Amino acid sequence: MSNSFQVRLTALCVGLVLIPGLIVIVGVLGETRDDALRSANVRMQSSEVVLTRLLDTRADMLTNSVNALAADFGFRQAVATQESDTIASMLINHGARIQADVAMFLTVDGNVVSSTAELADSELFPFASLLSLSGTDVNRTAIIPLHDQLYQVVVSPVMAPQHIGWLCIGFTVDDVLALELARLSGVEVAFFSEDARRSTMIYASTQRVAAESHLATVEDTSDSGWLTHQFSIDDTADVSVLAQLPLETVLLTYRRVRKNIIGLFGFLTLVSIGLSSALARRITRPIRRLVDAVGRIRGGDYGADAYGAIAIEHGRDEFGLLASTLDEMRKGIASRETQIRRQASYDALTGLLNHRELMQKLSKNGGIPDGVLLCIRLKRLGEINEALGREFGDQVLVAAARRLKARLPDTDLIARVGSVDLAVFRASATGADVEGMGTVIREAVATPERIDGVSAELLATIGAAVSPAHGSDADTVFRRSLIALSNAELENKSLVTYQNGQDEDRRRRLAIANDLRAAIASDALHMNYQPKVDFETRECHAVEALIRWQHPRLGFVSPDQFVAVAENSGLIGQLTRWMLDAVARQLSEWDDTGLKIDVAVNLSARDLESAAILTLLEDTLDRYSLRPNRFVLEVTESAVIHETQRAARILKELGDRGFRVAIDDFGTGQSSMAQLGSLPVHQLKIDKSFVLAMDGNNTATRIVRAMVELAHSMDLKVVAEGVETLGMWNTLAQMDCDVAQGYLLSRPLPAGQVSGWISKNTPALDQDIERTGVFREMASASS
Amino acid sequence: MAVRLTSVLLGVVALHCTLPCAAELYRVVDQNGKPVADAAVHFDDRQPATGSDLHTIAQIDKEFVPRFSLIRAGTVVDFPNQDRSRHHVYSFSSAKSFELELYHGETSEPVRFPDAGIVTLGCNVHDWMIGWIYVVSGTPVGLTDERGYIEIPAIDAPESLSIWHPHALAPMTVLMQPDSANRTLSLNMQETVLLPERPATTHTRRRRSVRSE
Repeated sequence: MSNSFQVRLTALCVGLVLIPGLIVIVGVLGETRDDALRSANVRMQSSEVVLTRLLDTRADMLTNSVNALAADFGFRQAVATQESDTIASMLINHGARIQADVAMFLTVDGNVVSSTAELADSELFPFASLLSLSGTDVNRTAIIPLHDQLYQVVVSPVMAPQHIGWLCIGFTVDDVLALELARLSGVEVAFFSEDARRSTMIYASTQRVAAESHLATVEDTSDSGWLTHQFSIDDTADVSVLAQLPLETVLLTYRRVRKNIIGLFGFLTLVSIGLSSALARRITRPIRRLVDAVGRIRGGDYGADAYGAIAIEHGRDEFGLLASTLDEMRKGIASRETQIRRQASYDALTGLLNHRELMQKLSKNGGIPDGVLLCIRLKRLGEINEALGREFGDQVLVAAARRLKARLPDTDLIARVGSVDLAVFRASATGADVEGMGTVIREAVATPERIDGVSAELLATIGAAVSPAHGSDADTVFRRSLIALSNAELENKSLVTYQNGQDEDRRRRLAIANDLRAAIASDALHMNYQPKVDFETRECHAVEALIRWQHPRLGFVSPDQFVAVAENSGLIGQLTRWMLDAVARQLSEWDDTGLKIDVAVNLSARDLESAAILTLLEDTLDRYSLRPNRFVLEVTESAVIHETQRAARILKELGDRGFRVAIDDFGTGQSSMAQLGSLPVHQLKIDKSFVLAMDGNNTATRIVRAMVELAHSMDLKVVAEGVETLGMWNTLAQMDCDVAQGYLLSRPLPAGQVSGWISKNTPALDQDIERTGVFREMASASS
Repeated sequence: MAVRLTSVLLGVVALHCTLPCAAELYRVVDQNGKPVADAAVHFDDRQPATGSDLHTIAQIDKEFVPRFSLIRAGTVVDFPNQDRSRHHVYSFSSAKSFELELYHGETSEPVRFPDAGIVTLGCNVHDWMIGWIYVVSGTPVGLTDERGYIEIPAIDAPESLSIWHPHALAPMTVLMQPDSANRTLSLNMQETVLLPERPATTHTRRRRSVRSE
């Protein structure tokens, strides 16, 4: 850029010198040329006057000679004799005296008496106009061609003393005369005539060749290299004079001047280019230096003192001012960048490192150093913000940060990683140090402090991750500490250390959440049915519908997992709708094949939150023309407990419409009997953990027995889940349990196998269950 | 021309008859009716040329005086030089060619003019000097005056009359009748005649054409 400025500056300087010079030179040269041509043209015009005058003068001289000859007494005496031979001799003799080229003597009437030139007999005197007797100033000279020769002719009357005849003398107009005229007039001269056929006859010429070549194009004057002027010298004959000047001669001076000026101008051009570029380089030098200096600023080098040097060198001129201004700018940029860098690295409020800076520090050597990373969530801070204002909350946060900083060693990295989240990294610490650090941090955070007269107290929930055990890079370790933190929150603990695998669980849950919607939409889910067998009749009158998902990548996904995901992600409604439709359709199919069984379906706690479930159920039944009593709706104990009021209302509504309701997983929740009594429930399903734990007359056995008795006392049917052995079967049968479900009887079956299983096993159940191969088979398979 | 000529002759005859011894006034004009001066009129054959008359033509102030002379053939003419410069009188005329070389005063020989004709006199020293001598063989009558008039004696019988002028295209001869009433004689003159002109100063010599009057 500075280079092109330099070039432009050079061009400007050169232009300033050369353009006016060029204009002047063009003007002067043009004027000189015009002037040369103008004065040459003037010379050409005046050449007519000069040549005419010269010819006139010559005519006068010749006239005098001829007159003297005509007056010669001897001549007159001879003429008076009228003897032609005598006259002819006189003409030759006396003509030679005046160097005449032609001499003639004529009578007064113009008849040729004698002539030195040969004339044809019939030829009249060729110059009759010169013989006029009238007028006082008769011109008796003419320039006239005769026999391809041009003559200046002079006629003189011969008086003896009366007029007795004419003496006519001709003097050749030849190249010698032309040269003489040219010498006197300063122009080239040619005498020529054009006849009717426009063929040119040149009688005399100074430059015969040039004149001839020019005469061929006499009108064309500009390109021929000649300036010409043509004029007539005699009225009596068609003889013209061509005055010419070669342009070469005319423009000789002009061309010499032009050559000199152009040479001088070329020299001037070179000199001015040299001087200008030197000047431009000198002018642009500080600019280049400033550009270099600015370039260093752009590169982040603020320490340069280049401006100072330039400023001193240039003092108070523009470059000096620019340099000192740039220097101040440099200082400003440097201080602002420091500030910006600080803001980029530190949390403005607490002065702790920010998240980005923490991550940078931890990643500085390619991977996270060994140590412990704790993520601290300041519980209650949000509430404080809401209750007492953000400003106050900020003060509380600042105070907590200050305390934390005070109590932790300086080597710990402390950062604010979220609005209510802090992080502490201690290098070289191990999992064994986590508890101790957690304690210090919790105490630091929890120490009450009065701010503006209000005592605010924070609590810390801490998630810990250890490097390298839980990850080799800062991001992973940080993320895992956050997982630990959210686990701590879920589990309501104050400190949780990340366990390997939690991250994978989380990912799996994420994949499930991502794919579930598509799975529902594309019927990738299916239903299995587990038979329920009546203890008394040993018949199967019902099956429990269990939802199954074979994920293409994750394989079998447990309903516990994806139902929980569905509940959290709002997909539960769709899932329930799909399930009810599938079950109802299956039930309708079985009805068509004559298989009369009831179906138990599991409803989520979320399903009970809204009355929409009622409509959904009825719509589904309507679609397949089923009655409500074919359905047993299984609801978990915890679902009923947490939303007692609303759930109770919906359950009652369901009961009123003819649905039967079972409490699933009974015994795991903390329901009170009072609550249970108030619910419109038809069945209790004893959680399989109790059934599986039964052994002799142990506590589990006694609890199961109590539950059975309790249910019966409330007119509820009891279903035992997890019946896997014959011993269990017998024990439960002995307790008067109503229905059994478990691997002893059958694993959950695909819909197509249910019919087969019932027709195959129901007769066998009628007999001794012990001998039933199926039971044995199932028992061994489940153990 | 014939008619006019006849009437002139008639006029001459008439004049001659009525006034036998008196003279009649005639006028000579050119073809344009302009008077012709210095024309010589003479009867051709009235009397044969006899005797030896004397005539003098002086040179005064570089002119011939008189400029026109009418003499009978055989007359001797003297050319006295009254100027201080010499004269060189000459004539190339066929009637009388002669040359009086440079002379002073009365030193020149008188010249006799035996033959009829017009003799033109010139001076070789002074080119402008010109003079004419009508030498006639008959009886001279005289020269017309400036207005062309001339008195011609009356005649009794028709007579041949000649009228000469150097600038006439040709000499005219008419047969005069005694009773002719015509008093005008017409002469065919040259339209223009070139005459030597006396220069205003000695060192310019220009020839002028002079219209004859």
